Amino acid sequence: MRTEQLWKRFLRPALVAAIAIPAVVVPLFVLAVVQGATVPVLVDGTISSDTENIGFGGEMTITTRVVEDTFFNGPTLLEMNIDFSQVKGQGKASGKKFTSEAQVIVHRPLLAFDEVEVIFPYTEGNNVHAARSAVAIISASFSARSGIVLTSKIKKVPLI
Amino acid sequence: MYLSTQASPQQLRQAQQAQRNRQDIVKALSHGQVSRRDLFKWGLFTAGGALALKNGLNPFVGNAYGEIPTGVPRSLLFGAAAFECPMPRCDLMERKAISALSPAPQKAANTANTRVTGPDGIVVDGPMEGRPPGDIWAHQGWDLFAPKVAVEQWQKGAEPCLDYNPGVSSYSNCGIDPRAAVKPCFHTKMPAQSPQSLWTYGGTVPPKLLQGRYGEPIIFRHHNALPARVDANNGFGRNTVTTHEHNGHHGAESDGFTGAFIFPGQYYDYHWPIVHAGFRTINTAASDPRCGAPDGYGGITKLPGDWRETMSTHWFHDHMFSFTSQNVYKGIAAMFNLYSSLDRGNEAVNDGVNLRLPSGTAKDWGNLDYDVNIMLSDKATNPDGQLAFDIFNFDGFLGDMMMANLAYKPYFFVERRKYRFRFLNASVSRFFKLALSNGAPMIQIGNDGNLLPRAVQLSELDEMGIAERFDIVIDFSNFTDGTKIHLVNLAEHQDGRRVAKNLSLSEALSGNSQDPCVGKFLEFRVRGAIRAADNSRDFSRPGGMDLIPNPDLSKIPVARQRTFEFGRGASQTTKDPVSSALGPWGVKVDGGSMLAADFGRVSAAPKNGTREIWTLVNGGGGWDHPIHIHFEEGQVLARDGSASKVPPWERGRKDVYRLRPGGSITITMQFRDWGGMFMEHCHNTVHEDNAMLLRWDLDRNGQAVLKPLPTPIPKPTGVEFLPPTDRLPSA
Repeated sequence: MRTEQLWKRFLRPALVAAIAIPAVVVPLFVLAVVQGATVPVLVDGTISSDTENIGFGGEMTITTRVVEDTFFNGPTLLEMNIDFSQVKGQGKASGKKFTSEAQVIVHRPLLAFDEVEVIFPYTEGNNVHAARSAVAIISASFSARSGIVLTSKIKKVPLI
Repeated sequence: MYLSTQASPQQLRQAQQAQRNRQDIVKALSHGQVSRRDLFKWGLFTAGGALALKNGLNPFVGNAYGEIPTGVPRSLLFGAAAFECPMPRCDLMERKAISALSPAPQKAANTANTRVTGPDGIVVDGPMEGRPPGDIWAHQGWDLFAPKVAVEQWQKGAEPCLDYNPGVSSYSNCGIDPRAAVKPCFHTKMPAQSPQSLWTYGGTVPPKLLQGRYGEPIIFRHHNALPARVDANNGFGRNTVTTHEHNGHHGAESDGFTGAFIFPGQYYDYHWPIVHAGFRTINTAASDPRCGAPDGYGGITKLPGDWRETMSTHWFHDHMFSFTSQNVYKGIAAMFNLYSSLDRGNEAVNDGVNLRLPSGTAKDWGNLDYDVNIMLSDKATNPDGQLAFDIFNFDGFLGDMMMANLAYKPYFFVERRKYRFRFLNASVSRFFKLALSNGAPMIQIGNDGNLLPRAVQLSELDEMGIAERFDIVIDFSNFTDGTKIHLVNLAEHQDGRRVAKNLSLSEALSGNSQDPCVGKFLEFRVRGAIRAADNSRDFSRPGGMDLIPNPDLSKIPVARQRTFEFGRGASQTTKDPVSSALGPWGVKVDGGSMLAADFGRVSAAPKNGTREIWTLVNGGGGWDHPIHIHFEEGQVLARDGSASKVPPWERGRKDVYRLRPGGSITITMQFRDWGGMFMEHCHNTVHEDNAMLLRWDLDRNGQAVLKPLPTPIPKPTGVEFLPPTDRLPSA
């Protein structure tokens, strides 16, 4: 399209509209962030590794934050900061102990119920080169009355 | 965002028409026929910064077929499928002797006349070097750090690469024959990009990589060989450029200041001394081998400075005021690896200093066999396969094709051993969150190019904001020959403001996301044969995860605390036609007004030799901002006011700070060694261009220079200096 056509089709009508409707709205908004408590979430689950079954226990530490989008009225966001450092695993046959130092941060639209899967590595001692991963499934229920309620279970990473 | 693959033909036609209409206006804007200010005045941009809600212009407006946003048509793939083409290694920039440069580089700008093309296409007599002239923009440390290596690059439109140098054998580069010409395209089935569509260093793909060493100062001579006509740009991109060496610790005259741009026909000599920060006061006798560089013979050249300030993975890119997003998207971006005695790029040198990260052994330093740069980006094309961009959406621009080193969803052969990958997010507005398709753990060793105090093992990485670099070690030794493992993006966008949702691995792999850039995008193909023993670091031995500790700043008094809030609804208080920008985004300094960018306004002025604490606040919950502070790295003290909320991978030094929606981050920085005018801005470059950027000035160790510094206003006939348009109380 040539410049003249551009002017006729869009710029001139827009100019007219701009003159006719000179309203300039300066957007105002209020930032709404609800900082949740840091809560321990009990871990329970067994996965089968290459060599044996590993039982997981202990707890994840999860800090939540609820963020409103008051400017665009977009979906409310749930931020979860999940710390696996208190999760312990133990080989059912060997008795080997497994730990994790991982953290995962996820952002999800806040829903009444959401099942959030995150992957975390676990190792025996410092042996990071032999680390494996497991999936933590965190069920997050939200209601205005009770806030966010979290439960979890552990499962094996599906082979893909 | 993008139309569903199930979209009706009517929706598709309407979206195509809207896209064409938008492109026409974009073209008029980029050709200089109308200005951004005109569009605001005419009501095509609202005061809030959105495109006016006019049917036929904005494809997101509900259409005649209902209230469903039409989105825009997806890019055509021309029959290309994922994982058909190899991922090429970056193309090494040639390092030359200083004597190869003609004319010879000099301390102050070379103002000898040449033919320079102005914005109107008229050729005039102007200075051959576009660097602002005079003492203020003369190279600091020119005698102390005399340049030893010359790198000369021409910024130009796309052309075949006839001298591809990946720095590794063809075997380590997926069998690519470096003698064959490399077409400037994203996939062999896709059309070649035209010289007006793709602008890269040298005009070629793959993207370039520069290798530098501490103690080896570089002159980077950047020629502007872009089309002389401002409208020879396929609708977007500006033919004036300035190069920012991202996270460089250099004088401001070599930082790529947004207002120090050059015109076609000019060059700019950037002087990158490549020093360890603190060289004026710490380890001045250069006695500590940890503060050093590979000497070329297996030993160490000891250097002054603080070894804990050693940096590794940089990049450089265009920083043209108001056009950075378009120019970087067009391809003006390259990677830059820095080598040191700690991180020398040779995994076999066992001197007690070298951290022996996966790399190779053939050369004394800078081996790339197992050290792979990967520039991630998202692109979109118009129906004829040429790069397309939409400046109308001030939220940010999202492409719908995932690229690794400018190759569409490629594959890459790996051996059964450890690799280091240097990931760069070179997108305009897209965040990534990376995981491997089998959930295998990775070790993050670096953040923003700095090796962490302690490496972190993760199975899914944190969100990676624009311009962030994550250095990752992946150990393929546990996989069998023929295994295919994919790199997966878990970060789903609906717009360019922020990540809408972090998907789980199974969700990302399900194929259900409407975001075309979610899911698998790079295929690692494991080869059974190992061509050389893996001599790289054993991370599992005691102390194996310990890398470079942070500099201890606790004993340096805090001179000042500042707060910067990044948000919407910015106003403009200045009217300089060159230095002031319009846009919805802005920055509020220490509780002042939310202001749109003006590179003539001084918003902060820390004092050289001091330390400060800066709190960066996200003023909204509907967006995220990766904030980049030039020149000095920071250490993160707190997130949302709490030190315990700083995740392990952010406990090193950084230069890009993701605020997170509704979040804040508190950092500390010390200011030293060099001075001049620097910037702070959102690296969602659409936000930066519209107009979330500010300038801060730093004095030069007490040297007599004008204060405040005059603002350079480049013209084809030479640079004019003007007094600052504004100086905030915080400056």
